[in-house]
Amino acid sequence: MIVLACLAAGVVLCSLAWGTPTLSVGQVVGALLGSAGVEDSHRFIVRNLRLPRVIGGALAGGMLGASGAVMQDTLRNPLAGPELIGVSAGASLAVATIVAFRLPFPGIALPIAALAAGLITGTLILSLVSLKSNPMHMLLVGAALTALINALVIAVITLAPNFGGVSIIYRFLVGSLSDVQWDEIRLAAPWTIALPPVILLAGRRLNILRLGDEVAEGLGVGVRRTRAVLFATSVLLVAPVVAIAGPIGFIALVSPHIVRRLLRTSDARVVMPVAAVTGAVLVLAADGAARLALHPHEVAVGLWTALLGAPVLLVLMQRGIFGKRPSA
Amino acid sequence: MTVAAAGLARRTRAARSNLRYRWSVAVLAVVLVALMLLYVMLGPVLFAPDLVIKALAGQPEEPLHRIAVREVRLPRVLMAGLAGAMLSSSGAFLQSVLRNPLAAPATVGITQGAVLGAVLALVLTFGSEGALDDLNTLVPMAAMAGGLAAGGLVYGLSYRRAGADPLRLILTGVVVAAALSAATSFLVLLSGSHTDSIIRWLVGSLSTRTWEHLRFLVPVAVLAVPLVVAAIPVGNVLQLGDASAVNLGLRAELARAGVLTTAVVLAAGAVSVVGGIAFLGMMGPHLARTLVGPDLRRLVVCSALVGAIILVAADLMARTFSLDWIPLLGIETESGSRVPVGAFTALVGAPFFVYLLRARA
Repeated sequence: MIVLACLAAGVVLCSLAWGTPTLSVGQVVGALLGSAGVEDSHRFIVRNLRLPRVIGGALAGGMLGASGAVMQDTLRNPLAGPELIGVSAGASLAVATIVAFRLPFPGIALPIAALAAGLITGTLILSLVSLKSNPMHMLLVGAALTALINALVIAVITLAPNFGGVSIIYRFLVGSLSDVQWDEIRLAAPWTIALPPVILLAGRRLNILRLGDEVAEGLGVGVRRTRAVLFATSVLLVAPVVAIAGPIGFIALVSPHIVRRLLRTSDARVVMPVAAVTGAVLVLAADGAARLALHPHEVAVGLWTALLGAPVLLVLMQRGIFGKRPSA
Repeated sequence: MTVAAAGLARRTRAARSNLRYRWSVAVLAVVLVALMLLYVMLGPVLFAPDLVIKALAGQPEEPLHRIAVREVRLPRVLMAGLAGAMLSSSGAFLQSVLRNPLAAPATVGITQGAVLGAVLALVLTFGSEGALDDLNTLVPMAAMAGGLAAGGLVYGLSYRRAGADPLRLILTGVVVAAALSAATSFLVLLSGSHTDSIIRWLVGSLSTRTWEHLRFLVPVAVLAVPLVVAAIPVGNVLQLGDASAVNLGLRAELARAGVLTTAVVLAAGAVSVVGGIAFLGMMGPHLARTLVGPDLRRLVVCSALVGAIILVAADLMARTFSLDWIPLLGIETESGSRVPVGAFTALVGAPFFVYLLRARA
């Protein structure tokens, strides 16, 4: 935990400091605190360009990591994740349609439309599955509808009369923090208040769900209702960050697995919060790579999350480096 | 209930499910043939069935008919059927052996590996003045190699002293898939030009496919047949879990490697000519399972038929669909900017799939 906290602080500081121009730690702290003797341009860069981006990245990573942990335990499948609840696909479809057909949605209206579309598709999938209690059924319906909506996105892209918009759509589809400003943060941040109570309340339930439906029923947990509530919670956690940053891939999948393997526990009460922090660190590190690695070109952060996250998880999965693999 | 009565009940049940299987195969086969005929008939030029038969027999009324039917539509429909069957049966093997309903060629990285191979070949040859004919064999070969390499990589990374257990296999597969597709996106973004043709490859498309591609695909399919025949009984035992498999006298690890190889060859072959068609490999086996149950002897046959039907139907829609049909939208599309078939497989399959799942549950 301590290591992780230090890592998080370090990544935040580096994200604020590095770039064009690269600032010293003192300059960053000075700019943040608004002390005199810091150039206005530096203050502007740190406060208005880099800080919102860092906060957005941390929010996105945290929400995705936590919801990945929730979904994997809720549906009892190590591959489950918020991609399967339709939020990302719905938001992508909204953005693709708006950009491709040049519908008049200026500035901040775009993430709001994405948020609305994400919530609508999430609710749609939830209403299609919540009647049934079988987790496999939920997974497959989610996967099917997500594939359906993604197919619509592809159709929209290929038919787009406005080909110049394709790169904007593509960037959103892969996930990018480059457009995150204070307005976007103001849109997404209030929702994240939901996270701590979720972690507190859901942990015990998730642990019971993992034991299997019969045991959970025997312990007095209403399995169907719990699963539906957790599913809905995931929709609420993920929709706002997807709306501002796009569906940053892979974070929700790897963060919980990394935590389970590092801490050698599957206890949801531990996995959820630590996965949130891990997700935030991963996104910020990936965003740093996105900004700096191929400077001055910027490659969308969603690619770097996969390129950075995959080796980390693969290494952790090799037995002998971190001891015996816990049951996932 | 007496022993005799119990035996009779069991036999009746077996007979009934056998009958159901035969009916399913017969109906699916008829649907497939009808769809393929429809596929050849429809298009910018409409053909009556008798004209199609004449053109196929080599006695067309006009030379143009011959070209449209035999050089354009026939190879494309055959390829759609074959590739759909291969993808879907590959998914059936993967779901059984990895014991996860989400398993599919595109879940465990085979598709992504093949797509990366193809895109790499495309990007590297864009600059050079290679003949199109060379490209038509080079790209599928690169894709095939990429798919096989990805399969080998996933298996190798999952392997421990005791073997590669299904959970680790599928998790490694997902991780490798994500990394490979990120690498592909990098290539696309960095190469800059020709994004359109690459996107068609990523999503899967059957346009501009010729006999040459089919000539590449058929040997792969033929090679896969003995593998499939051998993998079916082995996969059936593995479905029960490793412990049961060992008790039944099977060397579980060797068996798993064999079945996985079959699945990889099938999927890599299909992707190498049609591109990264998603969802078909996952959906096909589930649809087939609702018809005939989990026994691989039946499931693989039905999955192949269902996969072929879906891909042929989807490509028929992709070929004929045009936004001009929706005049209210008033959208001007460039001619030839067709929606790739990869978008239609999900559009055709997903609603049906969800309906079936809900009806069954």
